[in-house]
Amino acid sequence: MPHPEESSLSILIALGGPMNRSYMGKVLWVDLTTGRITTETIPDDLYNRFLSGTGLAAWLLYQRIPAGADPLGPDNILGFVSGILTSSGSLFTGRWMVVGKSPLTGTWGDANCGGNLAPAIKACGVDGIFFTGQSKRPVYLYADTKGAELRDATHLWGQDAIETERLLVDEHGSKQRVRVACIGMAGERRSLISGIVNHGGRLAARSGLGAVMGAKRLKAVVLCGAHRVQVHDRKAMKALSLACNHHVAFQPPFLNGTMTAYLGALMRMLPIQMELDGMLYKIMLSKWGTVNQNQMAIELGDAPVMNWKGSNRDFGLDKSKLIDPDEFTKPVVAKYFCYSCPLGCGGISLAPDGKTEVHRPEYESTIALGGLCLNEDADSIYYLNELLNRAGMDTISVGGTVAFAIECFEKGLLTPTDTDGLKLTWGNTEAVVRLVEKMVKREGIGDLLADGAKRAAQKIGRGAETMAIHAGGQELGMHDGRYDPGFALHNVVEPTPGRHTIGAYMYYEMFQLWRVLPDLPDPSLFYLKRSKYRANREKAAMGAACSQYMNVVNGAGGCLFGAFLGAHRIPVFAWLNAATGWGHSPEAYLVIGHRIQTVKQLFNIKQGIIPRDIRLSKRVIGDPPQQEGANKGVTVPLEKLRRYYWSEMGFDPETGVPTPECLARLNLEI
Amino acid sequence: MAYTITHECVGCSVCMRVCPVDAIVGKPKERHRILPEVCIDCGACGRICPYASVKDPENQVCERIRIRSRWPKPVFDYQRCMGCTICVEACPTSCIDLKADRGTRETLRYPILNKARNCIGCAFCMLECPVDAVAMEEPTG
Repeated sequence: MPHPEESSLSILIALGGPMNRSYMGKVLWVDLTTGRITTETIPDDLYNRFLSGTGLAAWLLYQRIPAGADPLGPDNILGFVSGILTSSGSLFTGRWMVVGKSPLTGTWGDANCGGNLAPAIKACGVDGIFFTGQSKRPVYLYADTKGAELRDATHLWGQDAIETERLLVDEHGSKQRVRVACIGMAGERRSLISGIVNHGGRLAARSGLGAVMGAKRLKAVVLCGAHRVQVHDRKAMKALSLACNHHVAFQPPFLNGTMTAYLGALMRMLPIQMELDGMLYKIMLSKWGTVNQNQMAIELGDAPVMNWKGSNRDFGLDKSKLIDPDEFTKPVVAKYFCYSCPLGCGGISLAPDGKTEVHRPEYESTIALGGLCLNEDADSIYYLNELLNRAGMDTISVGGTVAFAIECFEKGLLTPTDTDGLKLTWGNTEAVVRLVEKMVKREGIGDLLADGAKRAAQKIGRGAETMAIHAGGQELGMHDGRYDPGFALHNVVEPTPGRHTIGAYMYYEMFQLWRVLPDLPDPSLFYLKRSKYRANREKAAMGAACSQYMNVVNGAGGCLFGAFLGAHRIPVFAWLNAATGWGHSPEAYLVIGHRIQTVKQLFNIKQGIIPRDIRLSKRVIGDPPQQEGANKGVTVPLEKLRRYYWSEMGFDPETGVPTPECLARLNLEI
Repeated sequence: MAYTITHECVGCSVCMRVCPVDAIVGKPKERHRILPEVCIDCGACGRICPYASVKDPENQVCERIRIRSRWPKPVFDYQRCMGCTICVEACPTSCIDLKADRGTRETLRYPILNKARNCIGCAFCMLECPVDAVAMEEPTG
């Protein structure tokens, strides 16, 4: 095989056609060091045991990434995978995932994105594309129905992600569908909080996998395939989708944006809490997108404020009024739908020039760049969101790191000399904007912060570590474990630390798994809020079920927001059976989810990460408790919860290492 | 499964030109061949072949539709459509796009046949639509 740097790039190979089980049965391997491209046939048994998506990827990467591999070196493997239900006629199943060893945490790393790449992977005749080695020069992968080849990307290196996508679509898209995932400047500069960008600014943002792509000098993946996915029973798939869509279409007239804030305040004041039904969230999501929670989450205590040390008192209704869902979505001119989504929680808004269309910031970005830094300026959030989308940088981690820097400045650990003259004070919008611009360019203080809060704190020293809020090195999503201890639990027990999209008590309530798995706990319709802060086996069972279920959802290519509809409304298990012809029970699917989670845990152990050493910043669990605000006086019994959770999963409750009995039960002959 | 070319083929190459994935190989005036691992079963070769020399995966000879502009094309039912973009991604010739409407956050961008000349009448959009919002109809007028 010729190396792309040496001669012609025509190393086309046949990728193969589809099967009738909703998976393509093959993955593509691209060695960036040698330029060699091969396909690997995946046995049916592996799909049956790990599904596709992050499940299959976890198994392959666990075996093939050597222990102690440098995440930014040639031994790391970077994978782009689609789910088993993608392109099967199901709904909410258009997520693509990127996987690898995370340079941010040193653990299993994955990131999940909607956009339009997931069907394009399967349209090339494969379920995943895995990159090994390291190229000497910038390259991109081009793949279509006939095969794949590496092409020179020197002309694209240095371009922002959205411009890169535009150039590649113009170059390849006269009569074919062109779908692109690429890195921006942040990934090229190996920022450990960089992600991978698709469809004009949708990001697989977490785990720092943009830096892995940058280190491999892989600028983009360009997919132009046209293979169709064959399923076992298309008629059944359609019937299930129609029934699911019936729930999604239910959209009664609803309260306005300001009322969501007062609803949040009211819910904060009540001593009891009501079991959350995902239909309520669906209605709000459909109306405003994720920003429906902006003010409500602050009032409830779900959204962190002021680097997690503040509360709703510091960012009350007077300060958050510009992120009121109605106000904040005024620039939106149309809904944005990821592939196969009937809901459309995204928003397309106009840039200040009145012509360019950009993605509306999501809730996570709004809080991270807003309340977490006490930044009240909604326009700056729109600006920074687009800046970071173009750079390919994780808005959550950037917001968390900026808030950390502000607190360091407040405590005198950073001075104007260190910050290139920036006065990093709470709510100083201009300073926040300048700082983020410097982080994108790795310029001055920006270079110190471009690898996240933990590494910056290690360099600053003098106690800065206590202000860096993270789990295992990754900044946390904008959901407070002191409001819902399930978030604190999953931040430390997930093999990808700092993950907010797997489990929480409110997620468990919305998943409503007990309706299809009667052995799981059925929460009371009303319960005392203080009961959330107890650690017991029921809480552990809820947490374990969330982990297992979301591994199934991610293996299927599913969307968390779709899963929020409830297991009796979104037929994930029935879709899987109709698509593959397997006929598994819901219990059997949770065993598959359990197996996937266990393999990820084994991945970490192989890489030298002891699960019990993954720590969550004390502040986030209320140690010491806050003196005021929505989460006043609460402390999360995290260690106890974690032991219960590991015990429930069949892991050693003290170390988190899977027991031999657990491995035998899951048929994991390692 | 894939389409196949029979010995009736005279090598006119019209199928090669219409195939959206370059799955057909062969020299002019010689019998052509369809690469089964590349073929996506769109049937365009069968609809265009003047010599009835293409068989579908069920081994039936494909019926020619003489005038290409009369090949069935997608028609969208916007009462049913939910904007999920499945049809956009199903189209092998990228001729379906979303109408770039602007309005408010409630505005949906519905699919339209943007490049009708590129449409090969494969019906993938109709087959993939989960809510039956796409029908294939012969163009009128």
